[in-house]
Amino acid sequence: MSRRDFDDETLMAFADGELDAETTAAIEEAMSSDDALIARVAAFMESRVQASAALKPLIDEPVPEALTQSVQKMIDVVRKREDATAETSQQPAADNVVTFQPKTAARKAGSSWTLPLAASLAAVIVGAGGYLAGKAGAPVSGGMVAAISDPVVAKALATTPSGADINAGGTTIKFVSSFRDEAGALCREFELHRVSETSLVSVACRVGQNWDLRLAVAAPTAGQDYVPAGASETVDAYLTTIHAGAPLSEAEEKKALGLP
Amino acid sequence: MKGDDVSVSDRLIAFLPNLRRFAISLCRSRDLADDLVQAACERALASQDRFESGTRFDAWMFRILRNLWIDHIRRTKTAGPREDIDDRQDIVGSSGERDVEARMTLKSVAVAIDELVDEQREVLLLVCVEDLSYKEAAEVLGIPIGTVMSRLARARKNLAEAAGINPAADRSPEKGGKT
Repeated sequence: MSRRDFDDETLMAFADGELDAETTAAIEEAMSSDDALIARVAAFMESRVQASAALKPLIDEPVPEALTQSVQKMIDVVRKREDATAETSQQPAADNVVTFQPKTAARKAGSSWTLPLAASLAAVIVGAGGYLAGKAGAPVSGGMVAAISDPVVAKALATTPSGADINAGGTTIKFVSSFRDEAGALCREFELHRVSETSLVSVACRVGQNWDLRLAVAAPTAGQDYVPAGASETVDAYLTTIHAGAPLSEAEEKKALGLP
Repeated sequence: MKGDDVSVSDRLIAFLPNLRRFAISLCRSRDLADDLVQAACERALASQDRFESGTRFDAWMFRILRNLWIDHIRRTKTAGPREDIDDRQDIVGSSGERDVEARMTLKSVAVAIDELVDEQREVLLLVCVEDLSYKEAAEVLGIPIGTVMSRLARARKNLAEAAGINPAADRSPEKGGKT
């Protein structure tokens, strides 16, 4: 009988009961004559038990009242809205966030949440050409709208990894994350900052060689690097509506962008 | 929206302790964790149509929360606020009834978990603490199962080493390690 070597992953999977029957049998067989193997398997069983035990106290800890209440409140609001929607049979909500390629199913899910969030913002602009759906309050300045359709931005979208900043003509472009939308298109969330201008939080998706601007939310700035929570919540809500996938890892992003 | 199954909103409150534990372990700050839990609940409620009944609700929630956390990290461009060591030890909890030795062991395991790199810690939490399968963890994290396994094995070896929970084993060198 030849002695087989098993790597850590395999022994761990055995300890976790995640192994196929054939390999399981092989390990059991080998363990009958190999104490070191038994010890290695035991170590994986032990680490699981210990990890679980170590974090057990956290789950017994009472959830802060404020958190429970706040979540309950959100649930109540959603239920109320669902009931209201049921009564008025899907009355379309006035939607401040006009997505550039609206998806009917997505709108149903997202509109009720994006509306109150967006209402707290100074302005929401959208669209490939910088279509402007301004709200009362500070209008989005022309400078930033122009900046976002600048070829420099498109180039940066194709070449700059998330987490990096680039500077172009006084505008700081901050790349937040990359992800895939429902259709699998590569999309990127990024922010544009310029001193003493309204900042923009944007989402653009790649279509062929071009970057399609899907969303731009104007955020009144309190500083160079600061985007108020309202703006990012709106973007989050938008990402939900387009069924955005998980943020790509560094490696996945590199691959998607075709970077070395 | 409301199927015959239990809806997302019905499950959310009961799931808060789990979600909060995952959040605390993930971001290592209670305040941040509570914000994160709240944001995850908000996101979950907004997209509850997307929850497929028959799939694991906990995995779905963990994925939402973790995505928000990743987003937060990238936005702030740091590894996330870290609390000092006293706060961190507090994460172990204040259940003071156990005998001293057991408590010290647990504490050291908790600290060892805390000190794992993020990518190892999160997979350890999902599989060993929350009992997700490798496949479910892979879906939550958006990585292949093979990556889950290699990270998890490394996490557990590191943990065992740091906390001294290895049974006295003959550590014979293995063939061709992957890392």
